[in-house]
Amino acid sequence: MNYWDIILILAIVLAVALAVIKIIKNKKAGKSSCGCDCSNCAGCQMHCHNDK
Amino acid sequence: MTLKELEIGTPAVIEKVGGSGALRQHFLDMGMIPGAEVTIVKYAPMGDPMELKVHGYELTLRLDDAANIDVTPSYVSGTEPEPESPARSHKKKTEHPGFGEKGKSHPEGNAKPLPDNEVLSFALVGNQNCGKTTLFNQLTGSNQHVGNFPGVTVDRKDGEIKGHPNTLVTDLPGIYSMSPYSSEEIVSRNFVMNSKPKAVINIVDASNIERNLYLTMQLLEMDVPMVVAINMMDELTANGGTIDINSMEEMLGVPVVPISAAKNQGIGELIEHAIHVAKYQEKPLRNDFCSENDNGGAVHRSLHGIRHLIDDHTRTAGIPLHFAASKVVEGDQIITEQLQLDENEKETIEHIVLQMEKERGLDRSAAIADMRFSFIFKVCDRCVKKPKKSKESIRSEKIDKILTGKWTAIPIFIIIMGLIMWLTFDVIGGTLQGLLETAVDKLTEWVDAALSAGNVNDVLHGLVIDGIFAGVGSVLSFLPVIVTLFFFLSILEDSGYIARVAFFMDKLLRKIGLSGRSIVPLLIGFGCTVPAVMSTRTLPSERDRKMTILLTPFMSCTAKLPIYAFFVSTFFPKYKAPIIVLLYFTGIVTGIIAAFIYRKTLFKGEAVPFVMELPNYRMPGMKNVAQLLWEKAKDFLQRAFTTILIATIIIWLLQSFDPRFNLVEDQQDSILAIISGWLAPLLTPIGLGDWRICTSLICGFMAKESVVSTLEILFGQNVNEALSNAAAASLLIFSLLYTPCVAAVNVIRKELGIKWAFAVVVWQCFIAWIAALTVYLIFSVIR
Repeated sequence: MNYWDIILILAIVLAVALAVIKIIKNKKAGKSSCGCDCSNCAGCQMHCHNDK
Repeated sequence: MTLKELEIGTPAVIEKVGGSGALRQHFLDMGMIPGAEVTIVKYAPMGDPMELKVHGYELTLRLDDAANIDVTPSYVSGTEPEPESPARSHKKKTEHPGFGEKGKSHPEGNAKPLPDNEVLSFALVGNQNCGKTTLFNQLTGSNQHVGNFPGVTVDRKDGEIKGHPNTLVTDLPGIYSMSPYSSEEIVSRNFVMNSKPKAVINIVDASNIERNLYLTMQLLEMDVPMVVAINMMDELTANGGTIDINSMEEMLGVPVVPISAAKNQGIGELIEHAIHVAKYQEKPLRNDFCSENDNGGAVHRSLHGIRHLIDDHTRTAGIPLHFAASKVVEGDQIITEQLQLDENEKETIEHIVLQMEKERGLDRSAAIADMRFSFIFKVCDRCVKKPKKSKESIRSEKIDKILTGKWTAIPIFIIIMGLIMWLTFDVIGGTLQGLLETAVDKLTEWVDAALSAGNVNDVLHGLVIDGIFAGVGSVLSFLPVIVTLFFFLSILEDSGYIARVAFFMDKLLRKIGLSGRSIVPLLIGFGCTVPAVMSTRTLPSERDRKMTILLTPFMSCTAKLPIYAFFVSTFFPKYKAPIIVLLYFTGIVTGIIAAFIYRKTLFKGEAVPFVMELPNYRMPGMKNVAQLLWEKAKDFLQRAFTTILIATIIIWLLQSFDPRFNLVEDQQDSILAIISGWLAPLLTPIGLGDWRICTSLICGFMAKESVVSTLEILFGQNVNEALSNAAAASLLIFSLLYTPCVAAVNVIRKELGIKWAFAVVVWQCFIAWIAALTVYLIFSVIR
């Protein structure tokens, strides 16, 4: 294993950790389970906050 | 005669509103009260429902419901109606009352401002189509986040007012009244009563002021500090109308601020007034709108009598007195139960109300609605000069002649949807997708070369290139297509066209047991199943809601686009667009068949009545649309680099290692192959018995986009050699119809419960299997 291998492993681990943290944060913040911000989905605008 | 028998264009006065229950209350709340003038504008292309005009706005109504409303024509048909009389001009100029302003009047009892560190919370309340979202965006900018109201699955948006860190604005759902007609209305009034915001910002549409003020009056009855924001003032004044703000403020007893949310006019003044009334807790000067001089004072006497009777109960229950009294008279069971009246009190109230009905000559609900509208008409008579007909209304009528014409409505709808699909998959979305794919390929090559030059370990090299880049990269390239589709759906909605689609699709949808309102969640389902399921919350009937939710998985969502695009490009390149359109069509047809089955079995009965406002056509707010698209793109990218990244790595690990975590040389020895091997025999009859396909379909349950990335990884980008055309067609159909993704199943679980969610997964897989088998056999025979 060389330095590049170690750097790469650390980068992948970091990316996965950040991804998991983001998913948990979104869940706690009450965002829709699809990961989308419902207020900005056409559907949500249409019915949840249906106005123009 | 009944409204059903009225001729188009003939104004008539409502004599009696029949029917019962929540629907009848909704009619009354929308202004269909005895004495109101209505005109039938047109009928839907299939003859039902009708579009009628009342209090200056358009409403849809089914013929069966119209048969319950008795009317008398206002004038003999063939003669011109009398023009609307303008508001009486007032020689006496009203001085500005100065509510909600520093140094001006402070109503009694609020000399003490709230502490500086106390968060000033606001509820933003208004009708649908009044510009609430636009105002909310202007107030908060990007300082907003989305959650749920506790206990119910209604979305909630909160945000801090720009430049005022100690504030919190909650955007409540668009509602017409505080009656319990839908969950949105219940959520809104519970929020105002229980969450006790420091103030309410009531947004009112200036072009539709009578109906909007109906909600205002109920908010005033709730005795919460309040500011009324009259929106779309620019449109009103451009059409020659005016509002005497000072007089209106004096009559309502709260600050009234003219604004144009779209043009960002008046927002600063609104914020100042809102913060002031919240900080000083300046309650409305007026909660009582009945008059002893109106119609003999019957309603006035009954309300005042009941208020004395329930006063102690309202204090115990924490419900505002005037609000509780009017709701008790209306027969609002929820409020009545919360008051916990004893039998004597209930009997006394019933006697009072019966006497009121007798003296007034109207039933209780109509009497209360009439009381409110009487006050509203006084306000409008004194303060509002309406234009004869707004430019927007004239324009909408002209456009509607084509878009909702008897012979043109449905063909134009099909053309519009076909055009959207073509632009999405081909011209715009398809072209941008090609460019993005090229860019991703170039980046992959560069990284591959860099890793080789760095002598990176083969396993790691494989993970990065064959796992992460292949997997995430294949999903990323579909971003332009998804954003393009959402763009068009958003334009359709923002312009007001979707409401028309619901109008002329009502009769068709009733054949499958739903109302026209259900077309909206079904159309949204073409974007994403999750908001489609959530948007069913506005359907007033539980039956309609459940049935619509069960049908949304048949509307092929954008996440499945990568699967279609990949397979048609690989196996049927000459027939790309027609096959994709056929897939969507197949989903719809299968949904219709399922609906017929549901109607005969699980959901017997008729669809709910169809009462819906038809707003004027408006140019879509590009800023709002752009913001929506940016958020959608951001969230898609976020998902690609979170859920899909993790899924890709997990799949790669599972397919690269055996159960003892040794690197495999033959993928068939991997953990993934073993798991999928258990399920693959189920898919053999439909030509998909390969464990790799089974794996990709399982991954598709996590995120549909990952089906393609998984296939790419597992087949080493040689899918076209591994599958026959028949199997490819079978896979397409199976992907179209099988279980929605875990996110959609989760939201179905939240809406309907775990049993229904499980049933959806099993049922969709079953239907997908049957359909895929049919296609596979047909293809096998043809070939």
